Amino acid sequence: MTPSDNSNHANVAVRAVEVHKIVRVGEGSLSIINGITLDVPCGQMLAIVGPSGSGKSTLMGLLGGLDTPSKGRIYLDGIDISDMNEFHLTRVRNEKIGFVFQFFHLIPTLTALKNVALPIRFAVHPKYDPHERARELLTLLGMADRTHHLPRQLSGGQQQRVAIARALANDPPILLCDEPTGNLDRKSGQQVIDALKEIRRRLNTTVIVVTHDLTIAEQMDRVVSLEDGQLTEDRSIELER
Amino acid sequence: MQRLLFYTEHSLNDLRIGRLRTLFAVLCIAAGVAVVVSLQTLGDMMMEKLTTNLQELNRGDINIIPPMPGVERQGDTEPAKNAGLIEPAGAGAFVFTDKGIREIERWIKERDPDAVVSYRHQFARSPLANAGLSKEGQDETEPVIGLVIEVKDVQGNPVYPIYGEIRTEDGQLLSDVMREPTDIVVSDNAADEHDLKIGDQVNLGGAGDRLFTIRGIVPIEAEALTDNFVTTIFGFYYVDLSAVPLYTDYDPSLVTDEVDGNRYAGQLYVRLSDTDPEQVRLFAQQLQNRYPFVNARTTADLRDRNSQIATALKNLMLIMGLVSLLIGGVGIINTMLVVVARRTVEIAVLKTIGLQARQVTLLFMIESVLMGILGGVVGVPFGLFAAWALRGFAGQVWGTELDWVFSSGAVIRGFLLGIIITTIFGFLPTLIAGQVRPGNVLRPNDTQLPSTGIWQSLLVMTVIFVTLGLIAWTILGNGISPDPASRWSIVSVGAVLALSLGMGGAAVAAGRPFLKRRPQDLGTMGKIGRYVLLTIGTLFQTGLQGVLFFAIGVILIALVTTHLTVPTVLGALIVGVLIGLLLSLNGLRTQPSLAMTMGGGLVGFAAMVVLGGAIGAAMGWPAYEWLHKSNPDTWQTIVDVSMNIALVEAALILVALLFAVLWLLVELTSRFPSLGLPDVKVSLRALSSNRWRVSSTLLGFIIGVLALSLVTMLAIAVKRLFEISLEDTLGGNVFVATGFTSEETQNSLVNVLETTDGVHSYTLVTNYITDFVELRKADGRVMKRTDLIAVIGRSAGGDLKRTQHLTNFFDLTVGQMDGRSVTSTLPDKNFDEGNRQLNAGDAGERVIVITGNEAVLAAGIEAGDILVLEFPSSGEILKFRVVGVSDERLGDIQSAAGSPIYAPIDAFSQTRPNAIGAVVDIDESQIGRLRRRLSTEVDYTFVIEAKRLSELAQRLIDQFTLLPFLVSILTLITGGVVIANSVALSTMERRREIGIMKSLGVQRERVLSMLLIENGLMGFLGGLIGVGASVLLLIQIWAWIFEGDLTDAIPIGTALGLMALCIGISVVAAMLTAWGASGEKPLNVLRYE
Ligand SMILES: Nc1ncnc2c1ncn2[C@@H]1O[C@H](COP(=O)(O)OP(=O)(O)O)[C@@H](O)[C@H]1O
Ligand SMILES: [Mg+2]
Repeated sequence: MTPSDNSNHANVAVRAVEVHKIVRVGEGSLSIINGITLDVPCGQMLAIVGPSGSGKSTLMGLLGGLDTPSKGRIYLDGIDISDMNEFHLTRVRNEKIGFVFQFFHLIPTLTALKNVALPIRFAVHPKYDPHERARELLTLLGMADRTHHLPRQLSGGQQQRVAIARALANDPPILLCDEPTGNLDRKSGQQVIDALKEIRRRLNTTVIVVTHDLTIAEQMDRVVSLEDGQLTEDRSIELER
Repeated sequence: MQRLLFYTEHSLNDLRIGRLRTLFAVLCIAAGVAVVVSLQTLGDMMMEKLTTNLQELNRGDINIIPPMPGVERQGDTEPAKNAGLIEPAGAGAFVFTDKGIREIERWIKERDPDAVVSYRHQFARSPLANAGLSKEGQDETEPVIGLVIEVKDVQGNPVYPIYGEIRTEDGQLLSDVMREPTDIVVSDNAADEHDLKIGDQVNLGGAGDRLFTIRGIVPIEAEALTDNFVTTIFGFYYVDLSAVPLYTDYDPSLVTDEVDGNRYAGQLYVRLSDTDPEQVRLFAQQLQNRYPFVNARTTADLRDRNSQIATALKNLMLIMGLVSLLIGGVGIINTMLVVVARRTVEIAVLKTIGLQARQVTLLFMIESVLMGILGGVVGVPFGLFAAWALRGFAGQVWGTELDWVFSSGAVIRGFLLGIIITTIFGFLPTLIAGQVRPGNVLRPNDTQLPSTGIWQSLLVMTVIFVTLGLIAWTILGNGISPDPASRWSIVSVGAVLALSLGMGGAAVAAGRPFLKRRPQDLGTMGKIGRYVLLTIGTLFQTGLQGVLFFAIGVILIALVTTHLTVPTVLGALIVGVLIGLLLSLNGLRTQPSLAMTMGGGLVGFAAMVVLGGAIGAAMGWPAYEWLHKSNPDTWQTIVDVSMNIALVEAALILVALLFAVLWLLVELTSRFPSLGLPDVKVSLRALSSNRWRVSSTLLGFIIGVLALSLVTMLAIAVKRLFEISLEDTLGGNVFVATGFTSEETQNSLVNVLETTDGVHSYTLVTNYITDFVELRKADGRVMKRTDLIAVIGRSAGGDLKRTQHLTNFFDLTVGQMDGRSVTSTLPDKNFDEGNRQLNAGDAGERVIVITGNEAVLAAGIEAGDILVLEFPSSGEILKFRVVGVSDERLGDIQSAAGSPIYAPIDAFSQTRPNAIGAVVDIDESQIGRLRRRLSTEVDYTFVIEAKRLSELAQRLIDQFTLLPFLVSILTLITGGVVIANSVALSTMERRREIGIMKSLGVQRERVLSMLLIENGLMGFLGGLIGVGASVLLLIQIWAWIFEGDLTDAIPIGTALGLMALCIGISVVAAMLTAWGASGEKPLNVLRYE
């Protein structure tokens, strides 16, 4: 793995430098992300807001190593992932990142427990016993009595909590959530956000949340706004920690 | 281990959830597996039949066979003939004489006093001309094979058969029922055919008015497996040795017309007291040393021969089964592609949480392997059942009843092949699954499948080629073996191809990161580098295509002609360049300029050929030198495997071409005007949006259709051809054969023909047995028999088998020669310039016409040559001038009734013919009258109508096409299942669409009708192409064999019927799967998604 650039501060969890993303669309090309530079310190809870189509998901994909930038650098935990190949990116995703999506995306054929155990099972050096850890995390998220349910037997909010448990399976330093409440009613949504806050508090995980919902954004440490692939606003929110 | 568990659990769950689609995919493979298992089981049953009870099959420990064409022997026939041990029986065959039998028997008994010798004699080699059976009081004589056997020996012990027993349908032994000389036993097929019952009185050809009584009916199996396959077609009767003197009209052996009560034997059977195989072998060896003209076949020899036959048969059937399995594989590809497409998001999620591409591939691979296993589990019982049900059919082909044998080999082979084929066919979709980008998870609506990269494609191709090549190799071995030079070129071309692909891939891979950056992001050096790389990339890409097509061309040429010549290779080169360039035009859209693309293509191509050739030679040659010298066996294996891989490459390239054509056709069809009908419009659009699947499904289906229609239409067409051309070829509608060969017979025959009303014309035909002495060419060269063999050998390209085959034909041709009266009807033949038919002016001249068949052409016989022939019965040697080498390709049909060589009848003044007959053109209504007159006025005659001959031919054709017919039906069934699978997939994919349509108020019937139209169209396309292609093939075959003009023999009605069948199959398949979908409640469907 690429050694960390010593110009980076050790306490920056995610760093993006002049990141661009250009995709080919038919004959031409489309620039989705236009030079974003962003530092997210360890343990920070960051909200990314912006209108639909502004590039939020694309940025999350880049930060989480689901895709590589066309230009610019991205560092996760000090590691440069910008030029990594798919094989190493996969390992990074497995070890460093937890993803939570709008549509939960649990594996429909597996029970809650097995969904959560999955990332541990595919870790190169598993840190935990898959089942034990899964049960522990589900309990943490208040899902202890639902371990053997299939996703379709769970409500949306419950599914999302299982998804969060799965994201936490390998104890990643960074949690990336793309509109985690987008598909939930306000109450379940708030439960999910509370769960994320609780996790940050207990595990000091860096959490980045993409959201439309300003009441949710206001609960974060910091909010950045995205428009046409560029950061337009970056403000910190003082909260009773 | 835990991961494997996860893979399996996940796959099983997925299979369970996608019940319907799993079912159909499994059925596709199951159908293929069933075909393999059933055909292999049938093959094993045959093997069992042919290799157990060998003593019975051989009729003894040793079976002594007199000289006949196609049977090996050590020494010359001449001394034995001179010593009176054997006599010629026509057509190059001999029989043992009474003297011969006695001498051999004595020799055997001297060495083994307890040995038993028995024998069987077949009356005549051609049952049409010489033997026959008619029910008492009936005119019509039915052809049947007469077998003279020794029911009991002098002591009254039954001796036929020596081993095993033959029992009549009511369970009695031959010796129980055949007590009087006039007691006969007939085979069940003869009894059925001629409506014979026990107790019926019959006349037998050759035995005058004497009545014989049928005492028993035995299964055809009694003789069919003992070198007497022809009995399955004509049936036979057994008559005891003691009846031979009753054959007053002619000698059963047909050698002379003196009735002497002598024994003749076609085969002698020996039972030794010591049956130890080694002892038997030694005994046979000694016997053969003592009588070098015989073939002493031991049970061990028979086992070798039979297992060879059965193995060849099994391999053939395995290949046919494999075709079905490959068709079934199409279903797997289609299903897996749909599965992967529907689960792109899930795959992306798996990748997000840390599954590597290869792990995803493995996951789906396990799913497809599980389908393969399920397919095997379902297919094996079906296959076993099919084998059980079809064994009667198969037995009918071989004239035997097949006993049920459970063959674990067949089951294992079917099962394993099913899994292998599923894995191979699932490979591409699973690789695609591995390629799904994890980013997809962020765009769930984007379900487009990724394409596989160049490496993946290469890997798939290599795996497919090598696996199928290895399978082909295990089946065919070194069966496809052109001469060494061509083999070497094929293998090296394959190596060049592989290397070029590899190099091209490497270049593209190396350049890729560079090319990904935009030019403005690069410095000057970077820009230049990028430009250089781009150029090289183009060079390789176009060059690669050129080389590919060049290689394809060379491989095809090599396979088709087995000879690579400079012009053919150049031809392939030019075609390769042209196609490569054509394809490079395609690169225009992305590449800078036409000039660069074209130039790049050309230079790249040249570079590739030179480079590839050089590397291939550089690597291949030392390897060859080293391996060939140090380990020739390994080298040979490599060459054989490579040959098979090349074969698979060629076959798959053909399939790919066919696929491309189908793809275009589907595209064209989908552009049909919809005539303003919304249903049709929707159906056409569906066809177009599923082009890939529709084309691949059609491909599988069409192979089945093609096989079935080719088999049925060929059979029907050949039958019809017989009807059309037999009379022309014979020169009349009735053929008369006589038993006696005296002048008196000839005169009375002519008298009857002259004075019967309704006879338009006739040709007197007398048959002579002759030996080839020499051929004198016009330029004075003389070709002796040895020269003839040498010349034919050269023309056969040194191929010994072929030489023997062609020379054999010569023996047969010269073995019987017609004398024909030249004043009336002669066969309708075509002659090239300088050649002619006989004419009235030839009367009394020694001129002959000879059929220009392969052997004759190879020998280089031309008009003007002098053919010198010896007539063994008189010792006379006559010289004939060849006046016509006919342009005739129906030689085989013709030789059934006469010989392909004939001269005017009065050219043979001294020699008595060996048989007399006539070809008569007579009013249909007068045939009965002619028959009656002949039977009273000419001593022994036998009348065959051309119609009857063609009936027999039809029976023969039916018999031989039964198995191919069966196999093609099975193949078509597999094709039908693949269609059903495809329909199920497309309805499943469109559940949503259907749900929306229904929620918009479209009736169930409308939805159904759209699905039916779509699939009916598909069936129509399949039928059109499959049946159309076989019609075209048939016309081609006709043009090739019969020089055109016989297109009316093509059964248009059958073709239309087959098309209807195709549409029917696909509509039924659609009904089965679409009914449920169309009836679904819209809400259900929409929620399901
Ligand atoms: N691979 C791609 N190909 C083409 N267009 C894309 C691709 N990825 C994203 N886009 C486009 O880029 C824009 C930003 O997308 P996205 O990041 O999903 O926005 P957001 O999440 O903020 O709604 C959208 O217009 C989207 O259609
Ligand atoms: Mg988004």
